[in-house]
Amino acid sequence: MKIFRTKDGRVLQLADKEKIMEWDAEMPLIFIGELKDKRIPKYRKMYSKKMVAEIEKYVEEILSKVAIPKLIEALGSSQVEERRNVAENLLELSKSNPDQLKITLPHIREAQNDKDKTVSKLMKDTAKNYDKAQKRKQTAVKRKKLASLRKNMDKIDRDYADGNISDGDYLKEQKIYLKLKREIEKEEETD
Amino acid sequence: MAKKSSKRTSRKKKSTVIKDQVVTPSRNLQANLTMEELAPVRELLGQNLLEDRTDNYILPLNSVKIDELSMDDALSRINNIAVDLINQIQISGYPTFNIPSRTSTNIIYDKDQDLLLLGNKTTNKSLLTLTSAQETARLMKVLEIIHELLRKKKHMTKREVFYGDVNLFQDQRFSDVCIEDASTLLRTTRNSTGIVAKARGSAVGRLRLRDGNEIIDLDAQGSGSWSITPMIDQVDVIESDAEFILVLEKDAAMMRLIEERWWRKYPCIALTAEGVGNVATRMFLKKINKELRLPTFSLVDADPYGHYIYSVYIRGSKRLSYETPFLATPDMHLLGVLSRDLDEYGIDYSCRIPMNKVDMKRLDDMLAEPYVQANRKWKEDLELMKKMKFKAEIQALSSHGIEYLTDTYLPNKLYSGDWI
Repeated sequence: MKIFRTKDGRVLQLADKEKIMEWDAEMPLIFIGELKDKRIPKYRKMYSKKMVAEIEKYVEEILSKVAIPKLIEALGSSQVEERRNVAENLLELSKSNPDQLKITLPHIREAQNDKDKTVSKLMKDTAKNYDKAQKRKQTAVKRKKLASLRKNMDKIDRDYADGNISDGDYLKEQKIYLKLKREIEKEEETD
Repeated sequence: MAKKSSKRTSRKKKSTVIKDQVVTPSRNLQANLTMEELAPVRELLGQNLLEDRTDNYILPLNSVKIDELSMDDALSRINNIAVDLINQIQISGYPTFNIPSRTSTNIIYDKDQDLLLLGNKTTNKSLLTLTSAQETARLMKVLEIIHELLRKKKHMTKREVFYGDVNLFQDQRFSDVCIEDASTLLRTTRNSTGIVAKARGSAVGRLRLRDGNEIIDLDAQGSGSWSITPMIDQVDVIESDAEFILVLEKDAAMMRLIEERWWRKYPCIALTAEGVGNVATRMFLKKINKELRLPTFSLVDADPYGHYIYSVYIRGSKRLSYETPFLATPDMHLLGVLSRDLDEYGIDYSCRIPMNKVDMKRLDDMLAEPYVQANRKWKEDLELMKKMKFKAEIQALSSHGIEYLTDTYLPNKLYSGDWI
């Protein structure tokens, strides 16, 4: 394990390069993605700037020296079986935990042009699953916004009935609300 | 008769008096301790992290060497055994299996490493004698199943093996014995054969793992815990900011820790096997202890069985002595509940249980073990238990309040460095 220690004796241990080298080709990138997206933001609240900088340096090192070369090597392997294996694992991950694929995305897109039809299809499906998941996330954000607009519209409806809002202003607000509602419906229809 | 009756009454009175007696803690207890104040744990952690832990373990000459193998290597060993059997049939017409004996007389205690190991005595099991034909037929069946598992890179539970041929095995006891025989015959660990025990243990805390290609966060298990997989070979430690490991005998104690999210205040990894450590839990503990080099403590009942559970974690069980180097965590400390804790933490007599004959026999057996004799502090605590003739469960601590275990007992034990 790679050990990081604070002055007051706390400890943080991360998998070391030797261990990461033994993992399946896609795993190191997934690990780095997890660290960058979820863990490092937490470390910023827990550790000194100096220690976080050391951790980030280590993560960049495993990214450039282990993770990317390993994935590129596996995806460019002359053994079709090896490429299919990586592609199958990535597809599985795109179903169970698509967010973890973020960092591998450029390589997945590139591998969609693989000579082997199976690899190419698996990569296309993986990218599709990832895109779908991202879209679903965006739709969820829009739904939240729509709910808050709906609340606002209730008040606007009342104000309009009381004659506190002009026809033009009311229509403008109503249009924003209906436009977003239609947009969400469309997205959910195609999903 | 009247004399006898009065004696009985006075004994009964005495026991009631003891039962009602309130015990004041003899130890000066600290409140609201923080991790920064648990100096003995941090000191131990510092020492562990500086230690060179490269595997330079040398087995005694009179013990059997067992290897942890990849599925391919285990498959090649099974193929070699098959070839050897064919050769025996062709040459002598009298095939036999030469298996390391797993009887108690062949279990040796390695004083230097403080481990129980399997000696190098072997037994021959012939395929052609009436006494062993059934046993060897069962063993052959288990080897056949293992071969298939290794070829297909799959895992199976012991129960599934038994159901593979119920008529042949008759009882799971027999298939279990054959599974252990097959492992020793192959000179490998049971996990290397693809046969695993069912999942029983669980873990929570400041640890993130890779299980296959998924990341498991043991700090985000809701109101439950991560079930320790029997397929430990697929698990890797990827990140941890824990400062110690706590092994619990009881699930009830685990629940207390989970409800309090105890590891967030005291950075640790907590695990339990709900009783004696099963293979998966012991392998998992060994893995995290070795890789993270964290001080490791156990919390068991203050009774001979609790001490036995602790002993199985640190030096292995006699039944699985051939796997000890892969299962034992020799540097684990016994944090509690120690017999002296009953007075020091003021456990009332109403929460103490008088020891019965079975307890006393088990206690004497424990005291006779060479590894207890070699550990002064451990021996003293067991002798105190024998003198007191009382035992107590971890839950007895909750007589002071539900949070006493997590808020007072554990922090004070770790603060005072009071462990064996």
